[in-house]
Amino acid sequence: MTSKPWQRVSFWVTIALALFAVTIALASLGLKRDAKALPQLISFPLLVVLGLLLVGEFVPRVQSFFVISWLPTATPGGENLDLTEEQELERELVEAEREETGREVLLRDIPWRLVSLVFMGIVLYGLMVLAAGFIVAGLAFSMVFVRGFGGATWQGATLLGIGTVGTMYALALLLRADLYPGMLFGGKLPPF
Amino acid sequence: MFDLSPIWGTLGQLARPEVFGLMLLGNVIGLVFGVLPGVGGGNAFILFLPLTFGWDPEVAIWFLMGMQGASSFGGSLPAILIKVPGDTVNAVAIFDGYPMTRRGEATRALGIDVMSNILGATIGAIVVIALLPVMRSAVLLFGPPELFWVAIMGLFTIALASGGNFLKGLAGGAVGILFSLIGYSSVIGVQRFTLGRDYLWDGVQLISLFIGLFAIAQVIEFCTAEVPIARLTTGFKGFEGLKRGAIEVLGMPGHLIRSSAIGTLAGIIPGIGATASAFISYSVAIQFSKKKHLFHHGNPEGLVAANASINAKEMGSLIPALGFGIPGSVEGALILAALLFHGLQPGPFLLRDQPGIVWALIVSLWISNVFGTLLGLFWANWLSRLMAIRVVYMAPVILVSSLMGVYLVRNNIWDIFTAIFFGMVGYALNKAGFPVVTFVIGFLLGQIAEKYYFQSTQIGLGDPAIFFDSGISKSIAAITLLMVLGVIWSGVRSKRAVTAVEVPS
Repeated sequence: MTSKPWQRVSFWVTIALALFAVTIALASLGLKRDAKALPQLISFPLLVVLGLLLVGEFVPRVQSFFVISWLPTATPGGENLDLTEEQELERELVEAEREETGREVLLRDIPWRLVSLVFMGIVLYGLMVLAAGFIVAGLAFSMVFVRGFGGATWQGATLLGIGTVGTMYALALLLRADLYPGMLFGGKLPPF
Repeated sequence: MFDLSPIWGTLGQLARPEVFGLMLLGNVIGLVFGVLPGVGGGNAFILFLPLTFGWDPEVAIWFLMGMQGASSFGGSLPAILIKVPGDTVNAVAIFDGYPMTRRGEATRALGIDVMSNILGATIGAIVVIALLPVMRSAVLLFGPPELFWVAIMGLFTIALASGGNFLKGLAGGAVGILFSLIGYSSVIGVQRFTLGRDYLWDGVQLISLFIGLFAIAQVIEFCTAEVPIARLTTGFKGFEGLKRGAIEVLGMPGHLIRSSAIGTLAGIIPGIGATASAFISYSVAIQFSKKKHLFHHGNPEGLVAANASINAKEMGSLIPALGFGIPGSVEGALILAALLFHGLQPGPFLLRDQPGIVWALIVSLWISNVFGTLLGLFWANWLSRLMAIRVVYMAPVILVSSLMGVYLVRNNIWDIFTAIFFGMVGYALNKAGFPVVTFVIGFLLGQIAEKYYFQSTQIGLGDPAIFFDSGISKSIAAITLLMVLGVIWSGVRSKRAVTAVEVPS
């Protein structure tokens, strides 16, 4: 790891989890004995684990000690034992997969603009459901999404939207469930 | 000598066209509901149970078991193909199923899925039939302290089985447990961490957490990375791949039998979910495998271990349900509901008074697993073509249907916002290398662990020695410790060996 700890996503996520654990630990102090037993039994060791992870961000050697590695032990000659051609192929594919998934993700690797856009789109869909219900929101969201992100034609987007919403509606009918109609159409909000 | 004639008699019912037809219809319904993320086979069971009112109980059982048997296979299909499990139990299939799909081996993975489902259920059925006469004494050996240890063992094995950084797995599980503590605890009788909101009195809903961490996080990943689901193609296509995968399973009898035995045992002991049993099987499979390094990267052995265990667990869950009338799991509770609905009283006298019903349940669940999976096989080749669809076209479909599934569970519109929140959490955890699967399992096990912890301390009048009173408790604690030490030692040893070879060069 050549990057600085604060350049990595894992560093910030670990800090966020530690803050969550501290909040739970502090909040549990005011609970009665039985109620605080498990929160404290979990949150204090969790803080130790997260502390170790944070130390590992600065000292990679500490981090590597806890990495479970199932890599085959190399022989003194360096070759792998008894691998058939097919196993070799499998190994190459696995290595390709591992290279891709095992990489440390840095903050600059995240396409922040795109992630924000997608996330805001999902939140907007939630708000649309709240306002106009599942059917209208589902249709509008599917159409705009595949049109905006996928570059589909309006006809294709409409077809996909109708298909998605139609399936939803059919399932709701089958389940004899009422889909939320939206506040604009008389839907009531449960207590929050 | 064990009398097998009731089994043949029950199998003979399949010759009746209405029984066979209804079982197949149940299979189709179970598959469809199983495939939909968050909807699940349990909902199908609940939905169609009232329809069976007035039916011959044995016919109704064939129909209902048809749904039950096929839904777990249905749930594993999206887990393998798009990394969105149909149900929590299918989450472990992601580990090795999805990497296989990504390297162009979707049909091979599905072939493995099919065969391990069938054989897992078959082995589970054999064990259940053999254990039926002695089940009472076996189940009574596990009290709250033993079940508490089983939950703890489940958490550790999950952290180990999730691979990568063990501490991250453990931290993810612990955070999951903390989230499970939010809300009103009926065990202790207090509300915790609700921030004064009415909504949080019921706690975080599993379905919201599950859909958020898997489906929504995956949608964000699909849209931002713009990666195709299947990147490489190795030639395992169509039925050739299915056949190859299915045959491969036959070459792994050890994993198959071991995982099925673990699954059946987990089903017999009330309180252990299918998800925990699948993870324990997966973890044990790693220990026994010669190809440890391939786990998490598309190792067929991992897929076999997970699927065989899940299907065998379904069979095992029949024992506490039939023998004691105890719902040991969600599946067991549904079966009990079906029996009561048809005026049958589950418990020790059922086997004596209504042996036909007991055998119908066992045989129909087994046969439904086999038929449902075979039926799914015909879909599998077609479903694997989903991989050719651009992910941006699939993303809104996944999102819209998943959030609807979240809403339908209890008709609370706020649940979809909880799911969206956990979607962002899941995305961040994925990027930081924290396995979200341990988060979900921690959430599930947290509720179980607290219940048994509290019951144990009540039984032991507050003395912690209760947790080490019985031989079973001590054994489970020792196994947990040995597993952790063994895996860490194994990791250290492999690092040393690699370093030893690298230094001279």
